[in-house]
Amino acid sequence: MIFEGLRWILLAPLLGAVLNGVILQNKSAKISGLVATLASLVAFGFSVVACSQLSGLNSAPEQNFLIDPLFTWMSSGHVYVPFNLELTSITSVMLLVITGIGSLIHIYSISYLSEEESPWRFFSYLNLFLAAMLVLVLASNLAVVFLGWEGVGLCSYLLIGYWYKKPENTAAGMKAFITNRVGDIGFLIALFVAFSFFQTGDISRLAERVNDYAFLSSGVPTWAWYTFAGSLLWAATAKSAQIPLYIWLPDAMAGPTPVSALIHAATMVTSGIFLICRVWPLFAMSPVIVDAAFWIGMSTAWLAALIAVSQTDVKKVLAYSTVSQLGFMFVALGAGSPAAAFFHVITHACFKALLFLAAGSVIHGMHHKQEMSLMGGLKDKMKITHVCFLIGTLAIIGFPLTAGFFSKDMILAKVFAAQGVFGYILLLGAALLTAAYMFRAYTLCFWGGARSEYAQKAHESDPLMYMPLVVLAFLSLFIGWLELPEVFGHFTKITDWVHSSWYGVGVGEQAHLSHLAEWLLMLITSVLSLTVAYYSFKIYQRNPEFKILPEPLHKWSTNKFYVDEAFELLLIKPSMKAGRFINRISDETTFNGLANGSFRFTRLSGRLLALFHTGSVQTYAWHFVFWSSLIVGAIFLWTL
Amino acid sequence: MDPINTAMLIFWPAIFAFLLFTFRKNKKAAQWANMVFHLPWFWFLYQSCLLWRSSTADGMFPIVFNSDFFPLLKSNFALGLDGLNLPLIGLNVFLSFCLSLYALGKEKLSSSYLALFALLNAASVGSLMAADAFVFYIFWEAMLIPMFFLIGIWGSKNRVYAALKFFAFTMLGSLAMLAAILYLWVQPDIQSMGWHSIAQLGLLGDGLWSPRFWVFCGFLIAFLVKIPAWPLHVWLPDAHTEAPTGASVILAGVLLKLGVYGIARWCLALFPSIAVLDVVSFTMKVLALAGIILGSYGALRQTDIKRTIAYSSVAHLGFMLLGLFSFQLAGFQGAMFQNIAHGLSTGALFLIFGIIYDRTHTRELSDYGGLGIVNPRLSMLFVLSVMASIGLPGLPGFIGEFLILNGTFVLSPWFAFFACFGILLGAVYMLRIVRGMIYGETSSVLKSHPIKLSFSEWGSIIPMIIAMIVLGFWGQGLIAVTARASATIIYNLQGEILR
Repeated sequence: MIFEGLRWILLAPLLGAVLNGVILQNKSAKISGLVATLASLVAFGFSVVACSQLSGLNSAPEQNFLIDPLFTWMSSGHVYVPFNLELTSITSVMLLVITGIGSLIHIYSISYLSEEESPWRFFSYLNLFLAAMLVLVLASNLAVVFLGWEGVGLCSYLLIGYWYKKPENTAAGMKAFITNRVGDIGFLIALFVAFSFFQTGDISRLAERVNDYAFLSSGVPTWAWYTFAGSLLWAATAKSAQIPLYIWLPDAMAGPTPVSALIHAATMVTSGIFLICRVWPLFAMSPVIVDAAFWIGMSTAWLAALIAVSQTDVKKVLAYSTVSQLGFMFVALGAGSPAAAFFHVITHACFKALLFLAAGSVIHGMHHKQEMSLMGGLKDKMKITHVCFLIGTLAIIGFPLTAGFFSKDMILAKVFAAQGVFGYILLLGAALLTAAYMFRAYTLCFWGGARSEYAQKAHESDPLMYMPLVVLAFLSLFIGWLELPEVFGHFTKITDWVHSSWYGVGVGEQAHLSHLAEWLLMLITSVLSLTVAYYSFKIYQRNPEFKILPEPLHKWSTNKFYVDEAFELLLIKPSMKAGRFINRISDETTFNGLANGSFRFTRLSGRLLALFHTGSVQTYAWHFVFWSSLIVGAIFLWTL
Repeated sequence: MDPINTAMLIFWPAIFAFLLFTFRKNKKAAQWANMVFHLPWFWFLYQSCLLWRSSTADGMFPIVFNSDFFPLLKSNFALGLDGLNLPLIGLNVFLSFCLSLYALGKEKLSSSYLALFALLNAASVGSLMAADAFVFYIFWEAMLIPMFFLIGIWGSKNRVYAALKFFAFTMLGSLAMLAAILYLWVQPDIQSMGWHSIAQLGLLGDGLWSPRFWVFCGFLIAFLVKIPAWPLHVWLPDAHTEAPTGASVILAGVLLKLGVYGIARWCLALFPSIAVLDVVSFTMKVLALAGIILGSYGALRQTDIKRTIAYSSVAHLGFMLLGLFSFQLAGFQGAMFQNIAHGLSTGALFLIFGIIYDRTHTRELSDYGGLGIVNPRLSMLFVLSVMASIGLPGLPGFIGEFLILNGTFVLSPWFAFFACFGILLGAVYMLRIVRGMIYGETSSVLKSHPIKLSFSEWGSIIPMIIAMIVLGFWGQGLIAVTARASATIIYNLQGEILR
């Protein structure tokens, strides 16, 4: 069904961005923040309307979406890209998360950035980000998705480098952009395959290809399917910060904290998982790639968790925790359950945004100090922030009946069903590490005595900042009820939404578990997590210096396992050196040398010939007689 | 819609070049007159567009203007207009107008500079429209002379070397083309030197090393130098770096594009049977890829901002060469689109940097920093142009590169794959410039030289930025213009492949 309201969802933040960035450029955070928040709220309002339109739709599964045709972006030969917006059920959830949490973070930012020189820049970028992210989720064609995909990358770059006077911030922004570009190559290749082999970039038509037997028997090579799925996975590893391309995300924490909450935790970084969920019928055609997603996710979940346990910067802990949680989502995809992955996307968006904003509130109260060694004892000075942070922490470790409990439990159950007990134990290990480092961070921030004068003078933030926290805390507690385990009753909203957004192409979920197994898994997971959390809480109250990992693991962990250094040493430096060397040899030495050499040769031969041009008739006459007699003599001798 | 209007696209700048000489005494009057002179030019452009739209002529390269030129040479003054050259003519007029705004109030830009510029415009539009080999050659060579003086007189420190290098390289390339044209001329069965009669010429053989192959190569070499394809590109960084701002913009925006246009018009369309030979197309794709990757590394190695932008042109033009030899409609139209996109984005980069350079007189990246504090608006426009240059979707560079790579992927997926790394490297070298120039603390050079733009300078940049944004989303408008002409060429090429 055609619904023309969809365009306003992304036009509103776009207009807000133009208004703030080009026209107003107002130096007051209140005014520019108000404009941006209004734009975001308008987008939220239109999203709600669109979602209610969609849920009122009673059509066949193939047509269960709203569409807003806009214009033709490009059409040439086999590349036809209409710029259409499309709302499927999975998109509608994403839409509410982006505009809803986005609006909350806009409100929060008004206060957070009140002392800035040019807040209009920030709010303009933030609105632009919303517009790009909305294009990413609403686009009906993969090429248009790519517009959003790169657009959010640009906004992320601009926002990480928001405080651009500091060289490390701009370096972090550049690293983020370039690492994401590495992933974009994957996306581009997927697009090439889509257009040249599947003859379309429209997601709906791509999905139909899976069931189109005439098409399947027309000789599309197997490698095309594998390349398509593999390059999408490649693209997703960059945007969703997985091994080996996760390295940009921890550095991206150089940006203002609301940015970390919105872009680098709740929305942009999950877009890789969202994308794979959307094209799941095609992705699932390549089982090898699905398995690859499982192992990439698993190793990322572990590696990031191992790094997180030793970080001393509260934002860095949360950043590595994000990487680790994104790994959980990849594991869910790899276990063949996009619904579980998407469920964790939603719950994670709520509790991670909450954690970041609460951390931002702490940092704000601590005069922009982020080291946990300077904090301590904040629970009495920042009561609301403390409770919110605690709720976020409980949700992320999967405290029974919070949001994280349901989604993490679903992932673990799916992994148990798909990969057996070994996969389950591996993932459980990562989950236990989560409990350990999250309670470490929580205890170091809020318990014990104040460890610096900043902590002593810390104060609660104003309502503009803590009201969004309260809303998010509420969501973190209750949003998990959208999808219940089978033993709790038959309520599976997320699975229904995800499955109904594949244009009627049915893909079976993995085998079910028995009720007893479900109860057991839930029990084991909860009891172990809570035990670890309790001990972490007790130990760090007594000894803030405690090291979870034994040496030398602890040292490696504090140095992030030297991954950045390895990249630098093994990949970046050699390729730069080789490229520069080849360029110097070819350009400067060879071809410029040839050019300059031939100039010199011409000049030299000219000078040599000029020696004969003396201007004196006698010399000419002498040359004439000499050379002609030489030639005549030679001919004479020859004929003899 | 009188065809004479189309011919006036060439004659008008030639005429106003001479009129500009009458303002020798008064620089300011010359600059204003130069700007006003562009308005009739726009009108002629508009009339030509109408002519193009109303034309129903089938076949390739319809002739819109024809008059006897030099019967002895079998040559007619024939001008053609179709979807391939019309956008480029538009770009030429548009960029030249922007530059006329930029020139207002510039102490250095005298009436002779402006007159030479107008002559350059006449020659470049002439070679875009020429439908006769000799006429094309004359216009092609005529471009060299004004450019030589523009670089040699108004350039910066090392200008004489750069001008000579530019002249020597392009002249050598043109000689190959002249030889090819003369060879065609001595063919007994040739009716005229018109484009259409060359296209119908038989008896030259079809295979490798046949006479037709050599004629093809003669043309190709001239265009490869102009593009410039790797490894004939070494003149470009010097010429771009030393040239005055206006000449840099036109060099990047129009002159290089003539190489791409030339290959499309005078190589692919005229001799499709040679172009599809494996040796030819493979060599060209290798050169294109070398240009993309090595040009990018070249850009990475520079400490001079203008030189970096110049090397980025080598990489971008590599993409276009790749698209031309993809033999797919998407690749070909992508190359035609990228022509315009690159003209706008690189033109804007040169223009903005030129405006800064006018004040600071240094091109070293290390002398800059903190432009974002000094002039946030200008920085924003610069970043936008950078994003257009590195092919961010929503700006025109993406559409061009995307179509080119999609086209290339069909027949040679590996070339498309490796060319993608050019996109990555593009981000690396361009963001390096952004970081060094705009971010960080304000450098001492920028502290001592305030960057305040005059009204006319803003006026020269903003139309280019608007054009970029419009084209980024409404690219289909431009793609549709090139559709018919491109489809015919690709149809012939694909027919040759099947044969």
